[in-house]
Amino acid sequence: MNDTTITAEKQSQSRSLKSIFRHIRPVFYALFLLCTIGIITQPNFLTIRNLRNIILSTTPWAIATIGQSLTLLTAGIDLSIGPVVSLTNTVAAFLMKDYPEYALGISFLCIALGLLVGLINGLVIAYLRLNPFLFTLASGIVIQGLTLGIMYQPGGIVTPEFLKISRVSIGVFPLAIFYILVLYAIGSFILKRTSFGLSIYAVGGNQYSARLSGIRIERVLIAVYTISGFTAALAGLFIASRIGSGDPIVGEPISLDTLTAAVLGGTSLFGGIGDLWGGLAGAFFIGTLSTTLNLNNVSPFYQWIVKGFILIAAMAIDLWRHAGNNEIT
Amino acid sequence: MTTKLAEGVDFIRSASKNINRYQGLMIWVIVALLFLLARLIAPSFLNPIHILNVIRQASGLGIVTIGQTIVLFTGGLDLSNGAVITLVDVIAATILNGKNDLLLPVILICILIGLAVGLINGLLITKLKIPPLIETLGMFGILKGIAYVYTRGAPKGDIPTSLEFVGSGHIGPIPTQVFFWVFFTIIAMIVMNKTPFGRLIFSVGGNQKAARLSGVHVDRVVISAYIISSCLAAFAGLILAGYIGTGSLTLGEGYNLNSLAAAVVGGTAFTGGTGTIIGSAGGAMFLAIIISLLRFLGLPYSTQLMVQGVILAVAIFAQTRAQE
Amino acid sequence: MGREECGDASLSCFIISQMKMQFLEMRNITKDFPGVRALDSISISLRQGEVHALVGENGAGKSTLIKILSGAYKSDQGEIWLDGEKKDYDSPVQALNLGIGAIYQEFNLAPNLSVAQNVMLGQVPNRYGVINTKEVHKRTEEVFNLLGVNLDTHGLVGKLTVAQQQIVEIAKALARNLRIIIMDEPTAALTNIEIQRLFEVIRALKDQAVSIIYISHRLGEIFEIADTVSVLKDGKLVGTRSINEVNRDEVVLMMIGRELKDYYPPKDTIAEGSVLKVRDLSVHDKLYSINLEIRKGEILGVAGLEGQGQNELVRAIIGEIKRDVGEIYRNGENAKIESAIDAIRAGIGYIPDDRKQDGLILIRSVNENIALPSLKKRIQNLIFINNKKEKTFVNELIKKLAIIITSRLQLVRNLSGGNQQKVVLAKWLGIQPEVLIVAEPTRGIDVGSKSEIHHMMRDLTRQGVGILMVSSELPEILGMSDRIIVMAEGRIVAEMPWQQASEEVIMAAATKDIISEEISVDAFTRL
Repeated sequence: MNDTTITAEKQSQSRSLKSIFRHIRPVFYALFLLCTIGIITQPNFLTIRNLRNIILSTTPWAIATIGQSLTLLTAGIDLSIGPVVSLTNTVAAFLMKDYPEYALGISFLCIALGLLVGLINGLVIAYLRLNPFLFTLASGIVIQGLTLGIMYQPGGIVTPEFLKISRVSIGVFPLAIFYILVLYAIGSFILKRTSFGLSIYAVGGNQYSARLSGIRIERVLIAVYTISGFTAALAGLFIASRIGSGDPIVGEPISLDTLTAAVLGGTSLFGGIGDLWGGLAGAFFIGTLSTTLNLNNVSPFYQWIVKGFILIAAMAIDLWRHAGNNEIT
Repeated sequence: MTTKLAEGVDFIRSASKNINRYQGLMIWVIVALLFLLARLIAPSFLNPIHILNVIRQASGLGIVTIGQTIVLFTGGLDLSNGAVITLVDVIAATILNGKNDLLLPVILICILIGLAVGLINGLLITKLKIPPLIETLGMFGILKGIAYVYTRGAPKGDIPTSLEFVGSGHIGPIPTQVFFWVFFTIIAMIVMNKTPFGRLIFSVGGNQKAARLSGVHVDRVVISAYIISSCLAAFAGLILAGYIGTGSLTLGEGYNLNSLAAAVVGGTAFTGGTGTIIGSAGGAMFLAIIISLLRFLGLPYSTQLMVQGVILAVAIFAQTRAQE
Repeated sequence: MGREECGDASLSCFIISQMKMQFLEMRNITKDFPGVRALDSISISLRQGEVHALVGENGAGKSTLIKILSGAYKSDQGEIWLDGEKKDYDSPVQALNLGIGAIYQEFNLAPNLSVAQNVMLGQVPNRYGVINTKEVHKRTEEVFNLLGVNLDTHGLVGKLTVAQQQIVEIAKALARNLRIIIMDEPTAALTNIEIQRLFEVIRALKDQAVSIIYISHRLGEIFEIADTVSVLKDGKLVGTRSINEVNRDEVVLMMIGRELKDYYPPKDTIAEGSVLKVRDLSVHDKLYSINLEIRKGEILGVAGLEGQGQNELVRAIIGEIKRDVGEIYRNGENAKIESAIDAIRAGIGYIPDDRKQDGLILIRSVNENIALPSLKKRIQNLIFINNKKEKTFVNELIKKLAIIITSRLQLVRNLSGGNQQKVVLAKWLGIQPEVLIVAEPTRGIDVGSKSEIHHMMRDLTRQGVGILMVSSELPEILGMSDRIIVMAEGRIVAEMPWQQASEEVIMAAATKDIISEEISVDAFTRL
């Protein structure tokens, strides 16, 4: 029978080595290549110190990319991630300076702030049907203004215990890896193995069809943006732990960087395609790139240029791979 | 109960639909109202020297907004214009280094930069079909980076007196910048309303497919729009360079979003095909007054940002409602 | 009816007797749109497991009826009864919950999800939110078994063929326990082999006591698969017949045969000389070796059922679609048309069938729309628009076409359908074309404007313009054309001068089954 024979062929093919290579996304190759270049050009690339550095500086980006990936999957986008990171970083340091005994409560407060911003984004996008790009842009601006209002210059200080959160290691391995892996594992599980995760993909793939199937679109959208606010808050707290103080514009490049990381990792801007692990690889690509450029004494200003190129190139590749695919004949 | 609510919403909706048409002129009414408001809460704001200063601020934004508006007419948008301003400023400051001799070549170079950026934007958007949001955002980063690299993070050099005259001087009581703003606005209005090119821009934004089937070179029109936007940003960059007198890596910050907000507030839709140049001018004026008023009242930059964000959100909301 | 009659005997006997009961009744369904009554008191009933065909020309009301049944529209009058109860619903989701769903030509599937995920979407078997993947595939396969179908449940829907996607949609419907499935032109994009497979699946659905409302123009298929056929004409139900009580010709007769009340302009032009010649035009999978010629001063009507390649033909001529093979000649010379701009340069005007999407810029004014293609040549003064020239130019066209507006600065979107179409026409008249390609010239237009447009077209031919007119309205084809070609399955199947044409002749040619491949009984593996 035609159909069975075709599909049977496909199954045996997928076990061949060739097909395994084809299934691995470009970002993993890119990351591999980048590391190789790093190792070759810099003798101290493979040092514990350097690797620790890469991991610790990439961790906030990696965490925030979870939220961005999810919004992208619903064919949306979240440009308020950067400002929320700045906000939680600033609020944490600001409050902990005067109320060090409430460090835990303050942390929860920051998480709540992130959730609140995400919730508002989600409600507006789901019910008022405003364009996600434009609205999260606007809400991001408001949040950024709020953050600057709280603290105009870097300042504030976190408690010594809080500092440890990012520095703690088990032997040579920073616990940060653990944070990333746990979050990604949970996120991936929810995305790939629960009906909520399936509905995210469904909404991104064909919103009308999802609605007809009985999925509550609005709930999915609200949830996704709320989670994005949550992960942005976590990222901000990690940064607070790492630098020990608050910086009101620390999150500025993060909205774009997480977008680039997700798109690099194979998540389509048009929704419905992608996963979290690709975004993780993308985040590490960007993080490793920065570090490698620094090690090679390349001016950090080149990074703006490189990142701009990567964004456009990633977009062009995404279009080339996906624009046709999302059509049902 | 709910029907009353529904009726109310319907009324607001149909009202906002009609507002769009007159929004070009409406915004000037709102500007006038703003002046009245200022009179109430801060009468000393209305001091003529101060007002002229506000109008000067509006000019820089206004010129950039013209370009943004034309791009919006085609259904796209340009987020790279802020970086063009910065780049032009640092290049001019570095090369001129306070002297007037190389003025003409530098002006030419800057216009060429505008041309090149606009051309690249237009090509990537029309031929590779990259969404304008992403493409111009990427270009923004690239240009910003180029400016940083060019100056190695420390802008030096100086703007010569000729440009300073343009940027911060006066002709009579009126700041020089304003003349340029008015000049460009008038040219833009003539082009959009009286030339075939203007019609083509609107038709491409109104319905790209129908325009193409009617024989319009859609790609050429779109690329032209982006070139215009970047060139106007380059002009604005030169003028603004004259205003601050030196190179600065943050000169163009905010101009991309503000020009967008100004155009939207002035009645130009994101979806393209409709809007007015005069409305955008009003929008620029509106924003300049608000920013200045907030500053005057002693409110910090952070509050400014928040207000701008809220205005943008409201503008988007109004636009979305007006589309339906 | 029921157990008593069947005695001890069989469950199947009981099931069959249940199936004979009417379970869906549409009573006196009426629907009005501004200016037209789309449906006039339609009453149709359906038994379980019945395949009920719905036929009629375009505009007869078929799609309106199924939109009401599937919840997309609400009827103005009339009721829908299901299982002896009146049902009130006004959204597709509510209809689906009642067991009524529709499958259109644009499928409602998520291309990025697997077959099983699509089929089970919305009712994914899970425990506390965690999906039981094995169960998902198991249940999907169960549904496929019921349908006698074998598809890899892991495959991505976006990678399937149209026929396979259709199967997934049907499986989804069955998984949702839909009892009434509406299929709108299901075979339009299928090969003959795939059509036979579809019929196997439909028969399997019948075995599951699912009822099907089957809309199609292809009478041959209807006689193969349907139990009953209802014919709609001009919004009214002409009649419902059991399929073995009626033959094809009778159905055709029921579909057409109206009085030609419309007065068409007299065909008083003499056609001579060729203005456009199409030679060997082929577009992969859509058009096969089309040869035609439009003469000066004539209207060449292109008739046929919808979706037989007329659209592609028109778009290929003006360069919107790339030709695989074939050339277009204007006045004996190869016009080298690769885009709309080339077509205009060659003096060809194009009036598209979807005026709102392709023909007009709705948010701009009448003036701008009409002037658009003529800006450079006729209205420009160096760099500026000569307002006076433009005013004269546009006003003349407005007058010629009797467009009713308060001012030429009015926005096109505020005009009636008839006036909008006139604006499109005016726009193209402005470039003084020698050839006019027109698709569905009077679709969705009031009677008065219709007549005006027809007279305008004839007027053009008197001035020597050659017109190619694609229309799915038979009276229009017969009333306007000097010559008629009939298209089916991407080919020209008949050609005739107007004197030899009639509705029956055209319909017969249009509905003739074209056997392009062997129909082998090559169904999905049955279980």
